[in-house]
Amino acid sequence: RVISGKVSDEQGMAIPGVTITVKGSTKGVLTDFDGNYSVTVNTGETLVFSFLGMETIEKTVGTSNVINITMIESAQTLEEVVVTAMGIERAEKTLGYGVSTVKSDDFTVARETDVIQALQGKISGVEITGQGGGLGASSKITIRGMTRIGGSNNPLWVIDGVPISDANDYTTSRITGAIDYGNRAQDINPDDIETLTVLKGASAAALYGSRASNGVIMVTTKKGKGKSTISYSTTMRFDSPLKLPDFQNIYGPGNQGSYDEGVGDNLQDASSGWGPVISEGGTYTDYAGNLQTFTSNPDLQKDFYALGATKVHSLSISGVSNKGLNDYRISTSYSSQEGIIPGSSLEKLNLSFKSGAQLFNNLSSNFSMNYVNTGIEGAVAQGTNDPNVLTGIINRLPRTTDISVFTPWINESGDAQLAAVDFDGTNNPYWIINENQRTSDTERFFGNVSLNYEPVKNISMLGRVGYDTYNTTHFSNKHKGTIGLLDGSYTENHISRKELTLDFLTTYDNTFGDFDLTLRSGVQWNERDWSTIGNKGIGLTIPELFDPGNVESNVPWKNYSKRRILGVFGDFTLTYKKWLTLNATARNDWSSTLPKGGNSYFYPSIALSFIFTDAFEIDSNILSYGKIRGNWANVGSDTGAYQLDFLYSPQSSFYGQFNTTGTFPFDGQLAFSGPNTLPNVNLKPENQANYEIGLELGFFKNRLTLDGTFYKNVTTDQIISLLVPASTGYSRAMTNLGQISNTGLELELGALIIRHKGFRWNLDYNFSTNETIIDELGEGIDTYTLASAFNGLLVGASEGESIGLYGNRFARALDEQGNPIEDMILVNSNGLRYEGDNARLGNVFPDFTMGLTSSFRYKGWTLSTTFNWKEGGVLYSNTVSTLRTSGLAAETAIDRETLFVDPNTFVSNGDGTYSENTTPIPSVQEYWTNYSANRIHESSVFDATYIKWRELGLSYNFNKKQLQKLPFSSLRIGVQGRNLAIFNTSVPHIDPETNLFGSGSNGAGIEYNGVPSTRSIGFNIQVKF
Amino acid sequence: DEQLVDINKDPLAATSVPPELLFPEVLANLSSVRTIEFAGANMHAQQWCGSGGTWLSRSRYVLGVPSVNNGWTTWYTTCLKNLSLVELLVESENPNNKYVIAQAKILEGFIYSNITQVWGDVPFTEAGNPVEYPYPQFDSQEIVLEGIVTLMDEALSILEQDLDSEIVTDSDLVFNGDREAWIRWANSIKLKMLMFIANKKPEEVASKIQALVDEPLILTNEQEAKFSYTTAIGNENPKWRFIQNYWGGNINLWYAGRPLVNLMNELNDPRLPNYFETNSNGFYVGKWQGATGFAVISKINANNVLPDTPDRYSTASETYFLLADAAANGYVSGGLEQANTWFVQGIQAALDYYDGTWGEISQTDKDNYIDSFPDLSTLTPEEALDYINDQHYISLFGNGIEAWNQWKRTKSVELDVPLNAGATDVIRRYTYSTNEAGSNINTPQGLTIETPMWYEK
Repeated sequence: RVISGKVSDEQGMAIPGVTITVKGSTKGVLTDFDGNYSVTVNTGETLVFSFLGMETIEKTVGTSNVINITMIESAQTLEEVVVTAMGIERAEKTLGYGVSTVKSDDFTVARETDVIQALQGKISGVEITGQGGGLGASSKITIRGMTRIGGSNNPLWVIDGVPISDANDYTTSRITGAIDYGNRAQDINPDDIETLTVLKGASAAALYGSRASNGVIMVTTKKGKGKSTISYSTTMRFDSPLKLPDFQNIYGPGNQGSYDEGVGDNLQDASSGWGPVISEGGTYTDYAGNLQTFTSNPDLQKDFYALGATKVHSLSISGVSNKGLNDYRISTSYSSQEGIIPGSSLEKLNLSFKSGAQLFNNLSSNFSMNYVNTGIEGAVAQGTNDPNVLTGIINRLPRTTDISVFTPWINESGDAQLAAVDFDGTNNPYWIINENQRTSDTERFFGNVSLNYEPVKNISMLGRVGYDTYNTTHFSNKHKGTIGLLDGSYTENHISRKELTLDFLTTYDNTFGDFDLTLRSGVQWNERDWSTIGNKGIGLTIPELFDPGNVESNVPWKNYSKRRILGVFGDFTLTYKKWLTLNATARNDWSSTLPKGGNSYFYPSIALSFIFTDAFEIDSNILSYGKIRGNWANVGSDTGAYQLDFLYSPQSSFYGQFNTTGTFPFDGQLAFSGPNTLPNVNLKPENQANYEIGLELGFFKNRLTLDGTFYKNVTTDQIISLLVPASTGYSRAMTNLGQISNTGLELELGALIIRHKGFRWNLDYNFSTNETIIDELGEGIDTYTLASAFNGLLVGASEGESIGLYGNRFARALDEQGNPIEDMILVNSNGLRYEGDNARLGNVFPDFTMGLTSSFRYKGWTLSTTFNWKEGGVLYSNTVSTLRTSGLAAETAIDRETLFVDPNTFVSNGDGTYSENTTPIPSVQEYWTNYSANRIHESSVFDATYIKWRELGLSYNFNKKQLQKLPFSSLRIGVQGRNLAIFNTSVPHIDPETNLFGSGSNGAGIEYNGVPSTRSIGFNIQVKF
Repeated sequence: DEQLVDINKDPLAATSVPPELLFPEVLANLSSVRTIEFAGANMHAQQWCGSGGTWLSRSRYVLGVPSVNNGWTTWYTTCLKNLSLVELLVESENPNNKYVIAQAKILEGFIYSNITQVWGDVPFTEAGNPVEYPYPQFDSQEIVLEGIVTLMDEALSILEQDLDSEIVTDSDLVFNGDREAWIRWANSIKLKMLMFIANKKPEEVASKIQALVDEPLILTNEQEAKFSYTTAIGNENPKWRFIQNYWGGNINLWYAGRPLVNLMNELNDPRLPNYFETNSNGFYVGKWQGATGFAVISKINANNVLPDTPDRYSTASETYFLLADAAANGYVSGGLEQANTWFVQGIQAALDYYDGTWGEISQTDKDNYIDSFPDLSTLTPEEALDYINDQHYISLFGNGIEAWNQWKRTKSVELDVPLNAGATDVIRRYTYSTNEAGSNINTPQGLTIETPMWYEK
């Protein structure tokens, strides 16, 4: 008999490619593009319908010749194939290590323009920190904690098996007016992602050798499948500041409650918020020079920020041809964003083409190329000591300021600034926005070509060439008339990076009885080459002409580096009866960056997976699946190029504080200098040992799944550019040093709580905790500085502790041993706190992070939401310090007239004894200016805990019936919000998720004039033809 | 493997360079710290007064940790390190060029004199040798000052010989390879260091000071050791670049300090219009450090901050005032009569400094001023010293580090404890660089900015 029918999903959409087998035989067919099938069977036989991601259905053939099937999505599919290191596909069941995978929908439903941000709250074991509301700014992602205090902790990004760069390029120092132009993983088009897999442990990534010790993020892009489909989606989104500081609106500018221009007070010298009560109606001369009556402008900051808007259009055409032998996918995406800082914008164009072809029976090829062009305008400067740092100006304006006073900002002839704030070099904010450009333009190409040859059965050979290159130009200028650089200047920096990866991989795959054996061996050649060339032109003759010939002096620079790695590797995988899998890998690398003779290093790994439910044939309704896995790996890594030789370099400039840097030649003389970092010809490779054990359980037919992992990694012989005493003549010295360990626990829980008549409620929860401990730092080293900020504030590591924030604290009473007594804070004879020792202020990293995603589906409707919780860690906020010392923060207006005695403080009697303080503060102004002074960090350090409502999305998928009259084969509309709210935070005034240092640094836990992060609300339409 | 490793050579740097190429880097960085990074020393000497922003902070003893770090790091690494590399390069490339080594030693001594005047006890004997001393000990100021004297003696013993040695000329931005000039400077530095030591141990160093009287010293304004900024873009005085960048060359936040103005008003000093502008009422008025409200206060005359205003390392007037001080104290022979001669020569050199410039002082004014002082030989040594050190203090206007230390050494004028500084005494030293303290376990603890220098009486 011939049985036919149609297989569709819950929404009534046809499912092509469903496997239909006759139980107990080898006979099987597939559904066609329209989900139709026909098969010849005997009555009484059972048809088995199976499809990846759907629950398998069995149907016994009865009297009817038509069997239509509606398949439902499985609660948790454990048969999934995961793309692992080197692009090797393996069944997740057989993996001896933990991986987390995020699928395309997570990137497209609430579409983020930045891939990393879309991962927030979705996977365990990773920590993601955004940079606030600056358009195109970087997002930092760290997997399983910081393993190095010296080198980079950023994971390796791999697209379709080929490593690509995630560099974070920024100009100038991180602390003085740094402009973060983003990290290059942002170039990945979220619409092109099929899956994103995070290989967390070194074992998972050991085949990548030295570059794997920070984990690997593997992206597999979509490829053409099924019949030709045109897919189009558009997203429109609006952004506004998520959290603005809580200002007082009672007091105007001045000092000690008074402001009188008659005695010489003026806005430039007055404190922003320590003046008279605004409503008392005093007068002042505003920045434009007009006499004004004090009036409060509570919406000053709101009025300044604009409504940001993001538009994304994506189009793709994909399918297979030539009877399925060839596949193709062409996609393009265009995003345009306008930021909340007026005049800031980002435009991005992605083009990609991916194609595969079966050339001969045993030879196939794959080809993929991507082109990305990103342009950013009006990027924001953070930190301090740079006229372009905008947030610092906006937050510090007196509450009496009407923002419209700053327009116009330039005189009619276009050669002078109007309405400058002019305190210590502060410009009119609109001058900064409109006259001083900060742009970047990046062109990137990455792609690969591979050939797969199967000379005989069971053996396949893969040859692949991967190439990734980008060129980026950063441009910024200070218009003639910018206070701080009145003569004007411009800086142009071109960065060019190239990475070539050649792989050759041979695989032998066979089954011997109950054993499945896979053997692989390969060679990898990787070459990275980076160069930058730039110029700073100072003193513009014609204001708008940014040419080296138009300036009074030029400071040019040039840098270059090139490095290579050659690796050979092997992989052995043996599976017994599908429930026991042993995987061993080995790789040896030769790096160009280490000394001759000491530049070869070997990395072994071993992993075991044991599905005990299958082994012991446990088949209970409660425990449906159980697997134990464990692994060990040892990886290591090299260092940067040119760290070995003692080198003299030509100098083009010499530093001068307050923008006074001068240039060589000086009086016609050239200058050279020895190195600031003492090189080391005896560097050896770093070493990292990893252990991991995991348990995966599925209950109630896998409606409830649990995946737990415990890991420990220990990194020794770190290659560190150690901060050494300057009195040695060097600032830093290259050395192998110390030991750092990370211990952590990860938990992922998935539950299909309700499945009833088309209604489904899924909950996904993840939990991660990681503890970084500096086991050893080396003799004589008290604190190793990872990144330093201002006035002694730094991110550092001390032996026996986690990575911490260090800074100046209030002076405290000393015990007999001369150690500070924690709860005895001292005040001076004026009853005011003052600066004491420099000490640890807390851990930079959180105690744990959690994410929760809930989704409801009913027929075509999907409602999903994600929260994430970060507990612990500390954050220093300069914004809080500034708002308080300047008398602008709401709390500074409370009881301003009351001269209280600072509670629980003490005074030193000068003889080693202390008495309780009874001196009232001289004024509330002096109390706050001392308490929150930026030289005392303790008072501006807060518990960084927060809960963020990351995502809320509602979408509707039209069903077949509804689509009958429309030209689409699929239509989905949705509304979504991102970063909707912050709860449970003790950080005042700012969003605690912020980081001055960006993704290119190991620094964290410091905010300095950051741009407010944004809340976005938008909608999305996706159609397929 | 060979092919793999051979690319690890930086194409943009050299493994050896002619040693003189390191001099401009040393000098430009030395002066950048002296002129702008530590411009706050002018406020510590209370000759200048900051009215706002960073400068008001400096008046209030907020030193700026980055500035402290920059100054320390620049002087130890960029300056002293490159000078020690000069010596290494000479020894490996051409060991005959001993004069180059002497030049390096004198600069080294001068830089240490700056370092110890700012911080007191600092690494000296174990500095600049990372392999042997990864955590250099901090030497007492006494050892540092004596060590600088020894460095000068070593340099002088080379320079005083007629050797077949090259000398750095074009890259020598101080004296363009003038050997005599280097000898004079070495002796002047030595004199100054000995005078610091004499404050504490007069008997031990008096004979050394006496011996210097007949040695070549910087005695005319032409002989002055200075770093000459130029009007070429990028080579201007950093202080000028600062005010140019912010206020188009106008002085906005630098006003007159009260003790100096009061002293000069009392003396009817002809340099008043050179140093300051009059206020709107036509008077010279200074301000208490740390206070606000500058409507009637005199600004610093912008002519002191021109593009080509030099960084004056050692001046002729300084030599005379030190000698006069030594004579009045009896460290050298000649008594108060000799002291008076040097005192007058010192004032003369200080007033003549403006000859041929924007601030030229008329001969009548010069004569009247000099005549207004009593003959020091008619006074007690204490009274004479008071005159000498007041003039010395006035002459160091714009040389913040020197003026501040002259006060610390002599306390000739009464300085104020600044307002709003949380201080109980006048600042004596900078806190140690946090970078050094964070990386060197030998960094002394417990010193405050009010802890006196070793050399103070």
